[in-house]
Amino acid sequence: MKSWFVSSLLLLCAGLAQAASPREGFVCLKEGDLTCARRVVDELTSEGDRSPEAELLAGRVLFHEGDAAGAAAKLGALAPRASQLKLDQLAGTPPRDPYVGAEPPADIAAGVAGERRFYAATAEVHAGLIVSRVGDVEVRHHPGVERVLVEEAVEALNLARARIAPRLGGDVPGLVRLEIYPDGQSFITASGLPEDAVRTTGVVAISKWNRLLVTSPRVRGGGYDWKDTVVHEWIHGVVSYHSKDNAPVWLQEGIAKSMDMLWREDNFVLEVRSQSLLAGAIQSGEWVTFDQMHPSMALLPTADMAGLAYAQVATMMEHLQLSTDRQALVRVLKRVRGDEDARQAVAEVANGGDFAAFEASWRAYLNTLDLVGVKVAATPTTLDGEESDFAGDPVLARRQDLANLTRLGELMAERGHYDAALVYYERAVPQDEPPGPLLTLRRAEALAQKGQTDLAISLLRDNLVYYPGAAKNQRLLGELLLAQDEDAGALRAFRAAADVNPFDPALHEQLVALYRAQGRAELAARHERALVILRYQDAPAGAGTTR
Amino acid sequence: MSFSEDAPDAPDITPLVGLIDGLRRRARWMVAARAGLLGLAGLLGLWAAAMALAGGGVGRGEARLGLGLGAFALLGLGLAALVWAWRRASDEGGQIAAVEAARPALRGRLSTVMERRGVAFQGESPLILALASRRAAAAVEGMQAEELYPRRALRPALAVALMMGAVFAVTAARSAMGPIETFAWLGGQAAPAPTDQALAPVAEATTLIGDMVLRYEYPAYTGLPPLEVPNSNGEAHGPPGTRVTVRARTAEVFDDASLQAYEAAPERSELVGGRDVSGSFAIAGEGVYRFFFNRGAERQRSPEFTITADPDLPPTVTIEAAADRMEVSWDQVIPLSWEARDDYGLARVLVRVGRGEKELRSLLTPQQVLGEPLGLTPDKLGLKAGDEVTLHIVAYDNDEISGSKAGESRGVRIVVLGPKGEARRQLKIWKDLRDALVDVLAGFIVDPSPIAKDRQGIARWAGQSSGRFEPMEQLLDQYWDGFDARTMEGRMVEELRRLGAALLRFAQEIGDPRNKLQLSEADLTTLAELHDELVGQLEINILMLDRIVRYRAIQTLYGLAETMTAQGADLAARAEAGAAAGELLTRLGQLDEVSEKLQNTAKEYDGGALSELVNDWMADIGRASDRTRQLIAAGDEAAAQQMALLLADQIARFAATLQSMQRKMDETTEEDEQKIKEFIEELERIEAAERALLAETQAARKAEGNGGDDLTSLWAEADRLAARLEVLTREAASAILLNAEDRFDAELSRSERLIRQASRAARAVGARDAVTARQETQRAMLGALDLHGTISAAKGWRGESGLSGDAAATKALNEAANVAQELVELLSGADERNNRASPALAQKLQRQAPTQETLRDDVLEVTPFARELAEQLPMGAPGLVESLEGADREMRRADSALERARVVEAEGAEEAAADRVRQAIEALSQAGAAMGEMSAAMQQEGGQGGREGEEDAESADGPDGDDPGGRIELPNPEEFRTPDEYRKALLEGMQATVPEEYEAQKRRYYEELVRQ
Repeated sequence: MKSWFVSSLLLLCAGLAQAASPREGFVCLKEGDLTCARRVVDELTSEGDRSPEAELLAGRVLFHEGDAAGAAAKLGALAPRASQLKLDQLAGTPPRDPYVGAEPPADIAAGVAGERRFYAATAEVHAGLIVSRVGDVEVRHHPGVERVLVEEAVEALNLARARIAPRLGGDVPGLVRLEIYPDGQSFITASGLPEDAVRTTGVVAISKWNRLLVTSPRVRGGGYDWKDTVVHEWIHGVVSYHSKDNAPVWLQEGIAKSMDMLWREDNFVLEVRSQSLLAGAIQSGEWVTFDQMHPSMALLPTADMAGLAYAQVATMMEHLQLSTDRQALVRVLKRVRGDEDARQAVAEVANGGDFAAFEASWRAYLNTLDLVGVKVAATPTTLDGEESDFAGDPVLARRQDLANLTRLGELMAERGHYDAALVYYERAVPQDEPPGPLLTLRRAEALAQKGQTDLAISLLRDNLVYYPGAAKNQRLLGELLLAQDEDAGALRAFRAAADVNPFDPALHEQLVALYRAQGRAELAARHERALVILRYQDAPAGAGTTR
Repeated sequence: MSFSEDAPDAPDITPLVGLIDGLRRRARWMVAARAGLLGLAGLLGLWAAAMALAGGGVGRGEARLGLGLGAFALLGLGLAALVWAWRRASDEGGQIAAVEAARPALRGRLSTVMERRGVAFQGESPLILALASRRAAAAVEGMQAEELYPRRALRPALAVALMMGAVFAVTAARSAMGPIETFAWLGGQAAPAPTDQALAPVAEATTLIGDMVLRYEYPAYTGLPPLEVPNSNGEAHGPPGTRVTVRARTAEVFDDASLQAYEAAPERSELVGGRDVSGSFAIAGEGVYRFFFNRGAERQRSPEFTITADPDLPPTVTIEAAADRMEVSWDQVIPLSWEARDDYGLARVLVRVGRGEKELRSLLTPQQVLGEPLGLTPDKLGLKAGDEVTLHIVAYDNDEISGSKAGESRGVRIVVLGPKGEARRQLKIWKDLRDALVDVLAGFIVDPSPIAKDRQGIARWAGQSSGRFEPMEQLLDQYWDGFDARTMEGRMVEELRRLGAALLRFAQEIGDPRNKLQLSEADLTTLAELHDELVGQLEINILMLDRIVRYRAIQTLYGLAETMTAQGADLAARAEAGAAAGELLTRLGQLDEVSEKLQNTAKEYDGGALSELVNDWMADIGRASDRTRQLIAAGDEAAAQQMALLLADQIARFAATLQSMQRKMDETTEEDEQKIKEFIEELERIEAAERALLAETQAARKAEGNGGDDLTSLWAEADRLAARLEVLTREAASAILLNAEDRFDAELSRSERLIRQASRAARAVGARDAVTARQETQRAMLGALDLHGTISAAKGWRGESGLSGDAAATKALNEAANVAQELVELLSGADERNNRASPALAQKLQRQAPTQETLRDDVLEVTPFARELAEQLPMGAPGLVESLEGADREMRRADSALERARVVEAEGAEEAAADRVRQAIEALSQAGAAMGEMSAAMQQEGGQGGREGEEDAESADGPDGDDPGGRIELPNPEEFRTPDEYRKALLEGMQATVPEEYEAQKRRYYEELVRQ
C-alpha cells in the first residue's frame, strides 16, 4: 500500500511538473515528431485547455494527421479568438497560409484565416480521395485505378523501413501517411507549391506536415520512378525526425538521394544522368557550392545544376558511409539534432572534423568511379497534359528543331512511309547527347515495321541505359523480345515498365503470363490483382478501403 | 280627196284598194322571181361556157372576151325585160283590168270606183257610186292574188334555170378546170389548183428548168443574214421557218406557173416572159417542192427538189465544277462556272436547285455562247444550312418557230454548310492537305544526295519525280474551291507548285541527253539547292498544318470530353438519385458512343502521343463503364451507382487534361508571338543605328570630299545600269512566258536563273562592292547570252518560224548583254577610285569604326537567339539567321572599309548591312505573320471546342462526311442555340425598311432564317 501511495504521488508530481503546454506541441510539430504533438494535444484536451493556442495546435495536428477538414473546422472555430493568440507560445510558427507564394499575414487573424483557407482547400481535394490502410501505412488516393499503387507503395515503404531506417537511426513512430494525388492541380493545391514552381523545378512530391505528398505516375504520361520518390520523401521525414528538422537542404537531399533506391537495391546506384553531370563537373571543375544549394535545390538556376547538386551530395553521403561505416549517418544526424553544423557533423564523423579533407577525399572517391561521360538530359516535368507531344521528352522538349523532325517522322510513319520516317528520325538524333526516349521509341517502331527487329531491340537497349524510366520503350522492348522468344529479357522489360507505369493492363497481362510460365505463382497473382483493380473488378469498394 | 265622217253615204273602197295593191306586189314578186331564175340560168350558162373555154385550151384573154360579150348581151336583154315587166306589174290600171277580165260581172264597176276613189265626180250621184262600189266589192270578194298570178307561171323560168344548172354541172365535171379554178383563172390569179389526181406523177409531162437561184431568208431569231445561192441544184435546206425564194428559167414558154411545197396546195408563182418563174415557200420540215406550168389546158411540172430542214437543237449546257458533290458554306459563292451554247441563240438561262429556279440571264439580243461563274451563294438561291440539293443550269433557246427549247446541264449536288460545318470542312481540308504533303515529301526526302551524278540519272529522277505531286493535285481537284489564293493553304499550294516546277524543270534541263557538255558542279549544286528549298518548304507547311490540326483536334476532343463530362455528371446524378438499371445502361450507351468518337477523332488527326493519351484514358473509362454494366447485370445496383460516380469522376479528369493541353498550346503560341514582337523591335533598333551610321558616313564624304562627285556619279550610273539589267532580264522572261506551254524547260529555267543572277548583281552594286558586283554582272551577261542561244536552238528544234515571244525576248537579251558589258567596264575602275580619301575624311571614318563594331557585336549577340527562336517556332523563320549572318559579313566589311577609309565601300557595306537587318526583320515578320495566321486558324469558329452536337443541325452526323465516328448524334436542344451575333444581325435585318410589296417576302425570309 505504501509503495502504491508513493508511486502514485511520484506520478502526480511528475505529471504536475510536466504539465503539457501548447508550446511543447508546436515544438514537437516543428521537429517532425507528430506522435509527441498528438500526445500534447490529447493531454491539453484532457486537461480542458481551450486556449486559442491549444485549439490552433489541435488543428495543426489534425492537419498533419491528414484530417484537413477537421483542421479547417478547428481553425474556423478559432477565428473569432484569433487575436488572443500568444505568439510566444507558438514556437516560431505563427499562423499563416502555408501556400509557398502567400503574402505574409497582416495580423494574426489574417494568418489564421489564411491557414484555415489552405486547410479547407486541402480538405476539398481530399474529399475526392479515399484512404487505404495497410498495417501502419495509410495511403490516401483516388478511388479509381490509383488503387493499383497501394500495394506497391506499401511494399516499398515497408522495405525501406526495414532496410533504410536502421541506417538513419530507426523508423519514425506512428503511421506513415502517404498521399497520392491523381492530377497536378490537386497536388499543387495540397502541397501549397506554386504551379510555376512545380513545373519549372519538376517537384512532383514533397514530404511535409508529417505526410508524404506524391503525384500519381499517371499524371506524367508514361509514368515515373514513383516508388523511389515515395521512399525518397519518406527518408526526408525520417531525417527530419532524427535531426529535429535541423538538417540543411543539402544534407537532407544528400541522404535521401543516396538511399532512395536501397529499398530495392543492395547498394547505392548512381543514375546515369548524375554520373554524366559529375563527369562534366570533374572535367570542368564547376561544382555547385553548399551556399548555392541553400535554401533549396529547387531554386538553382538550371536543371543541370540541380542535378549536379543532387549528385554531389548523394555521392558525398555514400562516400561518407563507405569511408566509415553504415551507421555514419546515424551519428551525423545525432550531431545535427544537437544543433551542430551539418558540415562539421559530417566532418567529425568522417575524419574528426576536417571538412576540407572530407571534400578532398570525396573528390578522390569520385575519380575512382567509372562515370558515364555522355551528357544525359533531365526528363522534364509534365503535368496534366502538355501542349506538345514532346513536352515529356528530355531532349525534344528543349529542342524544337529536333522535335519538328521527329514529328515529321511520325507523320511519315502514320502514312506508311517508314523509310522516309527513318530519315527524319535519323536527322532528329542530337549530335552531342543520346537521343531522347521518345525519338528512340519512334525509331524502333519504324524499324520493327520494316522487319528490322534486331536493330530496333538494339536501339532500345542502348537508349534505356540512359533513360531506364521510359516505360513505353521498356514495353516495346519487352514485346520485341517476346516475339523473339527471349522471355527472360521480356519479363525484365515488362517489369521495369510496370514499375514506372503500373496503369497499363497489357503489361500486367504479359507479366502474369510470363510469371506463370516460370512457375512463379505468387508474382503472377500479384499482377492479377493489379489487373482486377485496373479492370475495376473489385470496385467500387475495394478491400480495406474507406471513404 | 278623203271621205268625211259626216258623209255616211260615201262608199268604202278599202277592200278594193287592198286587193289592187296586193295584186301589184304579187306581180312584182313574180317578175323578180322569174328574173332571178333566168339570171341564174344565164350565169350558169356563162360559167359553164367559161369552164368549157378554159378546159378547151382557149386562152384566158379570148375566154374573157367571149364570156364578157355573152354576159353583156344577156345582162342587157335581161335588164330590159325586167324593167318592162316591173313597170307592167306596178301599173294599177293594168291590175284593175286584169281583175275586170277575171270577173266579168264587174262590168267596169271596179274601174269606175277605183277611178273615183269613192267620191263621185261632179254631177254624179254618190249613191250610185256607192252602189257600184258595193257591187264591185261583192264581186271581188274572196279573190286572191294567186288567182291572177299563180306560181306555176314561174315554171318555165325554173326549167330554164335547171337546165342551165345541169349544163353547168356537166361542164364542171368534164372540164379540166373546176368552177373555182376557172373563176380564179379568169381573175388572173394563181394557177389553177391541181387536184389530187394532178399531183400524181402522171398526167403531166415534165419540163426542165435551169439557172436556179435559191435565196434564203432565215427566221429573225436566228440572227442569220439572208443568203443567195446561185447555180443551185435546187435542193433547199435551212432551219424551220426559213423562207426560200426559188428563181428558175424554163425551157418553154408557159401561161402561168405555180409552186407546190410539201403536199400543200400549189401557190401561184410569178412568171415573167413566160419563162422566168419565181416562187417561194417556207421550210417546215423534210419534203419536196416542184413547179407546175400551164399553157392553156396543158399542164407540165418540174422535177421535184428536196427540202431539208436543219434542226434547231436545244442548247447544250455544261458545268465546270471540281466534283459532282460540293460542300459550300451558306454564304459562300458556289464555286462553279457554266457555259451554254445554242446553234442559233440563247434566250435565257436559269439555275435550278431542287424545285426552285432563279433566272441568271435573260437576253434581249440572243447569243450563241454564254458562260460565266455562277456567282451565287446558297442563301441567294433560297437554300439554308443543312440542305442538300441538285443544281442544274438550264438554258432556253430563242426558237420562235417551233417554240423555245431547253437544255440542261448535268446535276451537281450542293451541300450547304453552316458556320460550324464549314469549320469542320476547313479542318478536314487542312488535315487532308497535311497528309497529302506528307505523301509528296516522302518521295523527296529519301532521294539520294546528290540526286544523280550523270545526266541520264537526273533525267530518270525527274521523270519519276514528276508524279510525286499527284496527292496534292488530287486534293486540289477534290477541294478546288478550298484553295483560294487568298487563304493560307492556297498560298502554300501555290508556292509548292512553283518550287516543284522550278526543280523539275531544272532537272529536266540539265538531264537533257542532247546536252553534250559535262555536268557542272554548279548545276548539281543548284539542283540540290532547289531540292532542299522544296523539301524545306514542304516541311514548314506540314508542321504548320499539323500544329493547327492538332490544336483543333484538341479543341474537338475537349468538346467531346465536355459532352462526356456532362453525360458523366448526369449519370452520377441519376446514380445518386437511385436510378433504375435500365436508365443507367442507356446513359452508359451514350457515353460509349462519344467515347468511340473521341478515340476516332484523336486517331484521325494526330496519330502520335495525343492519340496514345486519349486511348489510355478511353481504355480506362471503357473498363470502368464495363464494370458498371457488370454490376448492373449482377443486380448490384448500389455498387453500380457507386461505380457510376467513379466513372463520372474519371471522365471529368480526362476533360481537365484536355483543357490543360489546350490552354498550354494557347500560352505557347502567345509566348512565341511575343518573342517575335520583341525581337523585331531589337532588330529595328539595330537597323536604325546602322542607317544612322550610313548617314554619318555620307555626310563625312560630302563634307571632306574624296573626288566624291565623280565617284558618286559613277555608282549612280552603276545603279542605273544594274536596274536596267534587271528590267531587261524580266522583260525577256515575260516574253518567254507568253508561250510557256510551248517552251522547252531549258528556256524557262534559264530565264528564271537569269533573273536571279541579275538581281544578285544589282544587290552587289547596291552594296558598293565593286569586285563582287563585277563578278555577278559578268555571270549575268553570260546567262543572257546563254539564254539567247537556247532560244535560237529551240527555234531550230521546233522546226517552225519561232514563237511569238521569241523576237521580244531575243531583243531584250541582246540589250541585257550589252548593258551588262557596260556595267562590267564601269565597275572595273570603281574599286580603285573607291580608295581615294583625304586625311581628314580618313580620320572621320576611322572614328566611326568603333560604332560599327558595336553594332556588329549586337548582331552577333542576337544571332544565337535568332537561331534558337527559328528552331523553336513550329514553322521556323526561313532567312532569319542567314540574313543576320549576312548583316554580320557586311558590317565586318563596313568596319574594315571605315578603318581603311574606303568611303564608298563603307557606305555600300553599311547600307547592305542595314538591308540585311531589314531582311531579317522581314523574315521574322513573315514568321510572325505565319504564326498569326496559324493562331487565327487555330482560333477559328467551329474549332472552339464546341460540345458534341454543337454544330450545324444538319451536320450532326456530318454532311461533311468527316465524322470520324460516322454515327448520328441527337444534339441536345440547347445546342441549337443561335450565336448572339447572328441573332442580333437577324433582328437588325428584320427591322430594315423595304418596299411594301416586298414586306411579306422579307418576313418569310427572316422567318426561314430563324428556323435554321
